[in-house]
Amino acid sequence: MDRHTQDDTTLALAWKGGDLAAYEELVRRYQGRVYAVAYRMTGNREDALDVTQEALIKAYSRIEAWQPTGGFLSWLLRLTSNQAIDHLRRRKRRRQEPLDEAFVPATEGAAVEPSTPDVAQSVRAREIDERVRAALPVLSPAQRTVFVLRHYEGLQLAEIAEQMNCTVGSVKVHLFRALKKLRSELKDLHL
Amino acid sequence: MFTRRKIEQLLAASMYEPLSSEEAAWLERQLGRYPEYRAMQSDFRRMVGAIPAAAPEFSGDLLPAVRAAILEGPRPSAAPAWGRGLAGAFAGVCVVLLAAYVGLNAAETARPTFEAAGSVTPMQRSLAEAERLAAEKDFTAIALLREALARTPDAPEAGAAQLLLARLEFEHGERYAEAHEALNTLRTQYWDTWAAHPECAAQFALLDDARAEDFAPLYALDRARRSGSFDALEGLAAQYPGRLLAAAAIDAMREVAGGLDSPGSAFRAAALETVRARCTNPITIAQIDMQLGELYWKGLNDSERARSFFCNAQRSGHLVVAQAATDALKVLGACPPVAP
Repeated sequence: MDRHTQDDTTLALAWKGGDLAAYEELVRRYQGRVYAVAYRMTGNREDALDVTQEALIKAYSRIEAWQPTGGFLSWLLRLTSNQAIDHLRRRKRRRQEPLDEAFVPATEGAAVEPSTPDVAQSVRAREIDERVRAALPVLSPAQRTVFVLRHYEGLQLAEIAEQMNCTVGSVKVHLFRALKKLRSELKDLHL
Repeated sequence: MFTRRKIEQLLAASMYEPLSSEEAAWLERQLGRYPEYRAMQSDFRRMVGAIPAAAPEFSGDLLPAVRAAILEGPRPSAAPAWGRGLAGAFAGVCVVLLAAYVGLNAAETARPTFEAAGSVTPMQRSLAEAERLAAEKDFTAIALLREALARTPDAPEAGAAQLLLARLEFEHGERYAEAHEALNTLRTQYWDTWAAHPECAAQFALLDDARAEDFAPLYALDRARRSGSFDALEGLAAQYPGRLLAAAAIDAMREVAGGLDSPGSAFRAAALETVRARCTNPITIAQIDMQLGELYWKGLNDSERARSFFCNAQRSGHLVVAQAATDALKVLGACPPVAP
């Protein structure tokens, strides 16, 4: 049986029925996406790796809660964002936590201006990315979850609502408040 | 207040998804009335467009660590393969339960790949001999395998040997404790073999389900199956409602009733309805209704029929079964009122 060609729902149903190879295929398929959400929610690689592993383990034990009527990936990413929030609460992170070193711009402190528009654009994008990562802790957990899942993971608002067990209207309100706070945090960037 | 809230909702949504023409027209009118929201729309658009959405780089594989953590940690309370939750007793795991109960198919046992003639290892020799004895239903193979595994537990064919040992312990019929231990060893020490044989997980789940009572329910199931008594099996299903044992008893009832033994949801549903028609115990009927509900819902995509069976189960009055039915109906929709 070639697991690689099977769709998510088929694999998840097989997993619910006890097929652990199906679980492993889904882990291989989506661990990168889970990591991306974990990274956006926590802001650093070390916590993101911890959260990714915790989320995948929790998904293993919680698959009975997933219903085929809902998307598997959206369920998994929502579980991840919850896990990230719990992780941060346990670690009692402060807002002033230093940013992940891997994302320090190469030109930080350099005396020479970027020499080409492409490089300048890349530097600017990284600066914005860092500032957004630093600003995300300002958002409430619900606002951060909605923003991360919509902006970075591309989930539809209706999907997010289903996973958060709330109305689409509530999701929109969370998104609005997230955008409004980010607008305030990033206003000095003159976007 | 309501207008402002709606403006904010549509403003946020419009950053990522298209609005309907009515919503877009309404929003545009409101933005004309509230210039602060117009400014916000402009700022949001620039900001959303500027925030990079590229995924952070992730190279590597967490699967080995995840796998190790799952094996080392306490077994999850709702482990999918072991079906402790009600869903496990009613859903797809039932399909493999009878196969698990009657023992692992000999053809499924992993066959070792031997080295060229003249370089057979002790484990390979023991495994080949054990397979020969097993084919003759000679359970001295059990001792042979135990010795070989104790000698070279890390041999390449050790997983296959452990799998055969577990199968023989189970088929022996009076060694369910040993079978449970053998499967647990397979699960914790020979993960690749375990993962390649999902029937092992189903079998382990069944054993685990009966373990608290020293496997007495499984021995009772043995006796009922050997007797071919439909009534005895029906009684067992009623005695252990919502448990994997009940599902195994219902599977055995299907055999006794001469139901079709073909794969596919339609065949299984037909076989179960044959069994249901013959049952008289309401608790057993309610459990069969749950299985039929699951089949029609997830296997045959017939929500209406599925709901009908779940409603029957909900009305059965048995707490465990009714709760499972209620959970399913939360997704499918409530039952119609019963006519007086």
